[in-house]
Amino acid sequence: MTSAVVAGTVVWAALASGVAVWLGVLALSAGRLIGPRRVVRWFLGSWLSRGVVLAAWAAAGWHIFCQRP
Amino acid sequence: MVLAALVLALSAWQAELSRDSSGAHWSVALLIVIGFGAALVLGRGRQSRTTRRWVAQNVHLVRTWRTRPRSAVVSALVWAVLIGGVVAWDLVSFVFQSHDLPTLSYFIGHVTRYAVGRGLLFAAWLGVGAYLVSARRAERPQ
Repeated sequence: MTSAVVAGTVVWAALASGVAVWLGVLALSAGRLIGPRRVVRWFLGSWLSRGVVLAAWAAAGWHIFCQRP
Repeated sequence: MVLAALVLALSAWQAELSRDSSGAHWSVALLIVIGFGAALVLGRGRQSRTTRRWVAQNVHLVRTWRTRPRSAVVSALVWAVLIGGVVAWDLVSFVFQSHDLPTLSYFIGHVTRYAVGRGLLFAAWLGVGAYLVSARRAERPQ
C-alpha cells in the first residue's frame, strides 16, 4: 500500500496513463495510425525479433511464477 | 478443445503452487523449452522474412522516414517511447532494487499471490506464448 506514493509508482502511473491515452487515440483514428496488431506483426516478422520476444516471454514467466510471491 | 482443457487443467494446478515449489519450477521450465522447441519446428521454412531482410527493411524505413506519412512516423515514435519506456523503467527499478522504485513484477505480485490470480495469469501467459510461437507463419514453400 505504501507504494502508492513512492516515486517509482508515479512513473508507472504516468506510463499506464500514456498507454491508455494512446489506445484511446488509436480507437478514434479509424486505422490511420499504427495499431497494436501491426506492432505485434512487426515483432513476429523475423527469427531474430520473434526470438527476442519469446525470450522476454520466457523470462517473464520464470520471474512471475517461480520468483515472485 | 483438448488443448483448451489441457491449458485449463494446467492453470488450475499451477494456481495452487507457490513460487518456491519444485512443481512450479520444472513445469515452467519445461513449458519454456517446449515453447522454443515448437517455435523451431513450426517455423522451419515458414518465417515470413529472413532476419537479414527484416533488418534491411527496417533500416530502409528509418532512413527514408521523411518520405513516410506523418501518421506512420508519429505512431512509430509513440510506440517506441511507450515500449522503450516500460522496458527501461522496469530495468532501472530492477537494477536499483529500492523500495521507492517498484518493478512491474511487484505490481503483478499483488495478483499472483492469490490462487485465482496466479491461475488466470498463468493461462494468459500460456496463451501469449502459444501465439508468439505459432502466429504469422508463412505458407510452407512447395
